[in-house]
Amino acid sequence: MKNKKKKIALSKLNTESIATIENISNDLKNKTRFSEMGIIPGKSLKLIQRYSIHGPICIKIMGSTIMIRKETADQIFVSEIYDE
Amino acid sequence: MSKKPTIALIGNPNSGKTAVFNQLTGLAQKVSNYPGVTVEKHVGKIKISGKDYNITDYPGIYGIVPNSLDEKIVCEEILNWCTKKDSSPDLIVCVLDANNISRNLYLATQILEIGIPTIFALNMIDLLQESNKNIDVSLLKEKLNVHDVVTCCALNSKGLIDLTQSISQFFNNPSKNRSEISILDEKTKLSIKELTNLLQKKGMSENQSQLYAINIVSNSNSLEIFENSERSKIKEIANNSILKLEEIHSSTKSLNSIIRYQWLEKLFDKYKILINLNKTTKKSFTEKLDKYLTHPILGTGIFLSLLFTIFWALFRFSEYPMNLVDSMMGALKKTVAQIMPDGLLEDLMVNGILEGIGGIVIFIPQILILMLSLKFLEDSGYMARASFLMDRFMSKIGLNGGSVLPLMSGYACAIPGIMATRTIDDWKERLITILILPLTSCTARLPVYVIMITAFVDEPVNQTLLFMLMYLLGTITAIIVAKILSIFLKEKANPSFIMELPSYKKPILKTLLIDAYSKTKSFVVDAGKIIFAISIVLWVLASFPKDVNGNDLPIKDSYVGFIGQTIEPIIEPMGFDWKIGIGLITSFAARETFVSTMSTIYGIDEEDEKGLKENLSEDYSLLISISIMVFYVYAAQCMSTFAIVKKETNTWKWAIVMIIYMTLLAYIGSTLVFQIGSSMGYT
Repeated sequence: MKNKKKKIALSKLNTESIATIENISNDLKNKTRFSEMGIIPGKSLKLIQRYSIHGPICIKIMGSTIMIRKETADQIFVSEIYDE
Repeated sequence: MSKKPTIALIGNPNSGKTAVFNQLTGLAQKVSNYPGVTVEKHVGKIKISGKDYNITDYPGIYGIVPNSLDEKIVCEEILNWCTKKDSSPDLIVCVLDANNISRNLYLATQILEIGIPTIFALNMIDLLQESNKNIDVSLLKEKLNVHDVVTCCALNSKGLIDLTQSISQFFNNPSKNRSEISILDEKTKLSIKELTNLLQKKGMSENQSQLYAINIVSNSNSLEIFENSERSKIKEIANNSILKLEEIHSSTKSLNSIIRYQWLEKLFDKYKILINLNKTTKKSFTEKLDKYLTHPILGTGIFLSLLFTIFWALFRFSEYPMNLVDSMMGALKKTVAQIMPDGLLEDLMVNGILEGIGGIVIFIPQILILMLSLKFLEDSGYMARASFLMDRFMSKIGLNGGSVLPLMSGYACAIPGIMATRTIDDWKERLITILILPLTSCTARLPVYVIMITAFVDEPVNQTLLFMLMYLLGTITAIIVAKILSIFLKEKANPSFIMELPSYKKPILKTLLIDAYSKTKSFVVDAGKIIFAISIVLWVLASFPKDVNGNDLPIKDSYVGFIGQTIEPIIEPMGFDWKIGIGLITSFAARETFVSTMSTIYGIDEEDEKGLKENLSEDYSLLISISIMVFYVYAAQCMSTFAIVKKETNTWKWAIVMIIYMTLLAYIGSTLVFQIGSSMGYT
């Protein structure tokens, strides 16, 4: 069974975890590019690589790998999906 | 029909669109710039069963709303197709990455809504099939009402047979059937009615007006592609529509993406367009490889070793062809000198023209090797990983990982590097990258380093160390200048950098060769023209005036000698004399002229054929040689770079700022080296 955890910032997600995008802060600049890439509420993603605590992360979304910075990932909120 | 049918190639970045273009056209393509900007326009010719077609490859886009300069060019062009019907192509070929079909359909469905006949080319289908998946082509064609959907594999020309057949069938039997789909519900359509009416008055069809209207209310960037005079009116009406839309949608921000992706998701849920035969989800090859290549420590190690290998190859493999070119030019000069009767014309031919040509062609091996390596890294998908690894560091100096590729290209030549910065979305980051780029030691400095180092240092280990020191000096200074600029430049920065890491692909040799060929050609032609002209001017300045009997005077008494002696007091603090002064003057057009100038100076001055190195080591010291190299690391001595900075930034301001700061750095740097060195007793 799939369950959802409480909402966290994408930057707090663990590597290899899968989550659904809940909402994106209105302060996020360059929102067009993010939405084109499929970073919109309802889409699920997987965090596949983290450079360092403050460094960029790589996520897999809609079949492509995308790099975003930690500061940006702070503004995207997700809920982790985990199998029980 | 006298006009050749036109085909437009549109697609996402990394969809393999350019590979498709190269396979279709081969060398039958022309690269030019869009008017006023340095976004490359690739136009090619293809012949299918005896008929000629013109095909244009547009820069990759994710949607029809621009985020960067090259995207803006494409988006403006697409808008033109809608408002000025006669400018639209006869057929659009939309290239989609089959492995990433739903994301690629985001753009492709918007292209369909424009209503120009479209063929979908599902590229890299072989990779999808390898992972036990497939796409139901006929179902996709039917549900989206596309003119045709074909699969292709741009890795080899055979993989494009279906595409070329489909193109030829379309033109033999042009269907009036326009593939129009509409994704908006009636309520939404009603809310944007006022805006769609306005757009229809500008010449758009109903479907086109809905497409643009929903984009305009979703993001303010969309307005950028409209004429200045139209913007305020569109904005005013768009604001009314936004108010109406907010009654039915929670927010209009990114509304286009949300509606479109929901629509696509429903389509894929309802029909089995994407066939997945896998029981469990397996990690793709790219994902497995990325575990290592994007690993913060391991990945960085691999990146640095790769860089080292490229530079090693650059020196190692260019040595033999460079010597070959050199001896061939030498032989040519001798032959010409023997054939032609002695006199002024022979002198001009051998010491002016051939000398100049030799100075240009000598760089071809190195530029080829570097361009091939960089293109290999880019096409294999690795370059984006390097950007990811470097982003943390780059962000500290006010740049992003996207600046890594342009900066690395700068080690070959600043010109393609500066041109490559147009992929950087953010203006401030782009400007800083442009301004520091000429500090990376380009190949034009290489001959100066080579001649200076080999003339004064014998030990190979010390030679290598000194080489690396010069590259390091330029690189470190670039980092410091970037940091300073990021603090002082008032332009606004955009912190939300986002970048796609494409899946790993085997680069196509043909594409690599075409790219390396066209870049090398543009160097030989563009930079070559200047170097060639300078060589002749220099020959005149060095050969005249003659004495009363028409014989050569010593170079010291020629025009160029006079100029060199005039500036001697200014360059003296750096340890330079009038001969080096002449070299510096001619180098302001292009650095590489230094070596040919020095050989011309010695060549004309002395009858016996002494090597340039021997001459230099007799006249100068190691300290002066280092001082010269430091000057060349810093000085802005390239007319072409100056011109391209003006063109890219659209103002003389930044080109002048660049020249001033670099010249100051060079003068101060060299003076410090020479003065400190002499006071320590190294002369």
